[in-house]
Amino acid sequence: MNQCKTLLKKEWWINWKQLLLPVWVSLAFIGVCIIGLLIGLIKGKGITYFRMEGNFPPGFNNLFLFGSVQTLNIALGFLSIMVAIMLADNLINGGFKLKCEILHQSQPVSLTKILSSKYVFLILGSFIVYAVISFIGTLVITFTQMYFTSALFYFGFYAWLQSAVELFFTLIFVCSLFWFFACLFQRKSFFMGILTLIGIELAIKILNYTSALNIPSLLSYLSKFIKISSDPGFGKAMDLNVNTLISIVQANWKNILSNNTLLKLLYSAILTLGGSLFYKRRELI
Amino acid sequence: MTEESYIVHNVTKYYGKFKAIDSVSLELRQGKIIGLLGKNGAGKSTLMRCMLGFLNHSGEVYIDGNLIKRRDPKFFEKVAFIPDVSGLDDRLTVKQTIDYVKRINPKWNEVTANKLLEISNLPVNKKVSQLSKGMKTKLYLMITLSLDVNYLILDEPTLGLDIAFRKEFFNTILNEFYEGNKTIFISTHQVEEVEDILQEIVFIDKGKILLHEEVHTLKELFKIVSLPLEQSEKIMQYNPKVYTKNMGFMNAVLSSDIEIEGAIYGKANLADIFLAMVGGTNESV
Repeated sequence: MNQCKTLLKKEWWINWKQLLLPVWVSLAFIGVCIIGLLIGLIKGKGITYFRMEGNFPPGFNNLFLFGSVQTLNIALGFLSIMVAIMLADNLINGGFKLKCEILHQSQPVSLTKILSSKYVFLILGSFIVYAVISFIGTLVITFTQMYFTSALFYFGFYAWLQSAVELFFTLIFVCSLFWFFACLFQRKSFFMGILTLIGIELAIKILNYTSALNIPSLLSYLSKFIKISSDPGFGKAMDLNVNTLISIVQANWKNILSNNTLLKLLYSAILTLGGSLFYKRRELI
Repeated sequence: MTEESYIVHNVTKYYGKFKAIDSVSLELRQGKIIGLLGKNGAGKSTLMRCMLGFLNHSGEVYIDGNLIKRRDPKFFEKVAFIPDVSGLDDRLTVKQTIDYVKRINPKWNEVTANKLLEISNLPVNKKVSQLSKGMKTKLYLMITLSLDVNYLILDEPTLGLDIAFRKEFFNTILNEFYEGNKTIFISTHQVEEVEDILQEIVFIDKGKILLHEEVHTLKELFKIVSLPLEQSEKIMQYNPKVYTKNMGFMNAVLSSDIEIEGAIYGKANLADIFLAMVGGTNESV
């Protein structure tokens, strides 16, 4: 346990700047927003400038709150996933590139512990950073809209919660996929991974074309698992009554925690273990 | 097979088609300081890495009677290693590096570590990447010698250090580690600096062990024979692999049982003996 804690600490010392990249980007975004707000105020447009204007049906404010929080979470989720992909390569190959892996692997600690701590750091680290920033962003958006449009807190909170849960499983899947590639390719693992996927897709297309087979597309199959946030289906609502909207939001859990989620976890486990096996076969030259 | 020893049995290692290590068998008995001498590319580092389980190879390695599997973590409770290139993690600070090894390695000895830290004068708050090559080597030596292990494998440990610290290392610091029951296996280019402390020597050339002998026994087997140049044919009839001509004399290392009338005899050092066996120039040893 002590060794695992030390390994996690070491990963933090090495990778904290990269892990917190979404924080730096968010801070930069907030900075730009504040400057925009100040410019607006200086031009005399006042804070009401940001109020929604126009004739919207009652209940639309809740819908708008849900949508805006979801948009924020999709943007942050995408950023977090991209950072996690880079982090996966750094965690697996950083020591080899810098020729310092020998220091870490000359210690009496099993490769399983080393790899587990890297994986936990990758998934939990990325998710916690995402969850904290997105929650703060959600609170800011929600309270602002509650103040100006009397939207309900429930919609902001559930938009965040559902996005966070969905992103958690997507993050596991994408990280495991690129973890596998990072273990397989010591250099330029991201590009090599993408090339591998494109290569397989092309091979499928050629086979389908030449042999009249009907092998389904790998990329469209994978894209099913790379959703950051699902549409609860508000478009089908007969009215924008709060109770109707709440029931739609609650029904959305079925989309988020579905058989696809189980498949995501299953594939993630296979990719993680497969990658780890490749990693264990590496030589320390 | 001795119970308490480090045994390499019939180890062969290929890099592609190149045979880097060729059926090497070796026994390092406990409580000995053993030197490994070979030219550049002779296979010293590869042999050490095979012994540490870092490379795939044929043949077996045993430590204290137990077969070593590749990347066996328990093995590093008995063995510590310093590689020939600075294998430290540039991304950590000196303090973090020490803290990391201290927490992850149960063999850490705080008393020895403090003593070594005092001698080494390391700037603890600096990043490893900001250290000079010599400082990096000092840090690696410091953390490795602070481990209570039975076997210490050093691959060119003083590379990049100034002569003052090299002397200090071989005469003082290594003594801190060396106790009667510990074994040190050391490869170095500066064989003259270590030959006084070595008890046994291993010569390696083209991946093969040429000789494994006690140093004092080996030195008794050879001597330097000097004759005026006009009598050089008396030396040449023994086909010495290496000979030098200077100040009107021819010098060669020959077997100590050879007696030549009128010759002057001198003691051969390990580098002379190595060159006499392998051939080549002093610079490549």
